[in-house]
Amino acid sequence: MTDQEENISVTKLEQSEGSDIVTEAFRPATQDALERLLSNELALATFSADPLEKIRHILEAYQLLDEDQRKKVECNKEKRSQLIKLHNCTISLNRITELSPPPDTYGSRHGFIPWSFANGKASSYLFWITRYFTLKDMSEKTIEYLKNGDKETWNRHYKWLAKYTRGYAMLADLLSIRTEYIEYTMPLCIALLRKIHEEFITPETWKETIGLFSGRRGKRSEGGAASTPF
Amino acid sequence: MKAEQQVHPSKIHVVWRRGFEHISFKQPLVILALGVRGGGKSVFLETVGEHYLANGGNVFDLFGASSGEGLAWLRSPWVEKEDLSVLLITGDDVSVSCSWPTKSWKDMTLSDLERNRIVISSTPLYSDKNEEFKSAGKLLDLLFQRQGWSQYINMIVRESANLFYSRMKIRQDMLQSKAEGIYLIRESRHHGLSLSMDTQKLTSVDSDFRALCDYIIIKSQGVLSLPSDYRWLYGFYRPEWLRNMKPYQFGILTSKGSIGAGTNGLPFWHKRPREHLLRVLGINIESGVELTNNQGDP
Repeated sequence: MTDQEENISVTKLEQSEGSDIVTEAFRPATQDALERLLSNELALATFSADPLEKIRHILEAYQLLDEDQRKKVECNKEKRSQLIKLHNCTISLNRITELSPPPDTYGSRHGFIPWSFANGKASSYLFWITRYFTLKDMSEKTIEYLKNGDKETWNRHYKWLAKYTRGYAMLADLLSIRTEYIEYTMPLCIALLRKIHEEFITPETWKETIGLFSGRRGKRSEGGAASTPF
Repeated sequence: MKAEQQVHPSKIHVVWRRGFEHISFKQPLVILALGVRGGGKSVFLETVGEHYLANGGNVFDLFGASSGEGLAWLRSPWVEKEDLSVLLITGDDVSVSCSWPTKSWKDMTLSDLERNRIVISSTPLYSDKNEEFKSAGKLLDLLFQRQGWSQYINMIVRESANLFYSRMKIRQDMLQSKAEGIYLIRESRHHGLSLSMDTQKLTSVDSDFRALCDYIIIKSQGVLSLPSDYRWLYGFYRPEWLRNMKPYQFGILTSKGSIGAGTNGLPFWHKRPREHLLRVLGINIESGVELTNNQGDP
């Protein structure tokens, strides 16, 4: 090494951890990556006008967390498992597909939901459905059991619902199921969003993300927090 | 010879966040420094110039602010202690009296640029900006006549857009001058030229131009944010640091994709704010451009 080269030094990040320039200049690598991913998902949820998309992004943010981190936002083990199943339902309900009607249907519209689970497991996925469908041959006794929330009767009903909705169902029925899903899931997801935000996202990262999404950066005064992330 | 050298260049230290590269000024590099006024761009370019001098190269300080900041080389230890040869380029009708050799741009030869270790073409030494651009155009043409060389010339262009203006003075055609500017950068290494340039806004220079840089040096951005094609760098750097970094700090992006942050020493001889360099250096000028104290980086 010559005298001149002694005046230039280069090091890898690992060799300079903790130095002033590294602390001041660089974002922390791993911790920051998760925070930014979460912030990104939550911002997508915040800006999404479609309720199913909003739910999807929040549940995907939840799935980015490892098991210990998930416990911080939801301490109940069963509910943690349900959140994953709700995400499966979100994907399916986002893909309600309309079918071409046969000639004798006089214009009524039909479609199906591509559920990701088998009919036999419907009860563990469709637990959020509380409105039952009354069938022509359904007995008064069955209706009574459904009204009273009888578990066995409801399990059979969920199985039937899964079979019906993945086949050739009235579009109106499918949309009412989707609406019920949103009604059930949205409050859970909003609470989840708040918890993830509180636990894992710093105000600085959030401001920066919102700034990037809103595209307001530089157009507002320095005082506008979200508009001046940098 | 090198063992006898008493003056050392200001230190540069880089920590690589992505990739790893050694930095050597024994090759003709193209460096573009980006940052707001007062962000330390000129100081960095001078540090690079010092490294080229230390490696046996020459420095050709081509453009500067109206305050004549390039003249500060005259009080650097490279001139005062190391006694490197200096030449000041002047306007044709400008009479300059000082203790360093001067020469009109019209009389300049390639040999003048090669023989003198530090050559300064500074705004106050010209009758007007127009003449300075014409002079720069001619000097660049001289340099591009170089076919063989024994040492590199580090050309410092303190506002890179000036490089294109200088071509326009010769060509009078925007597209042709831009093409020539790009050509100068692309071909500079084949003529033994290293280019150190700065700009306040990265968008002031063409993307073709930026793509040819070996190193893009990011100095304090102030209220300006990085242009959209460099915004991904915010994934590596803290935004508040990019906005408010100190003049001795910098971010670095290389043509190979490495990303780092570093510090550079501040040459003590750099022009200070409000300093009247001509008076300090004892340079008297007749019919040069009026000297302004409030322009250029401090």
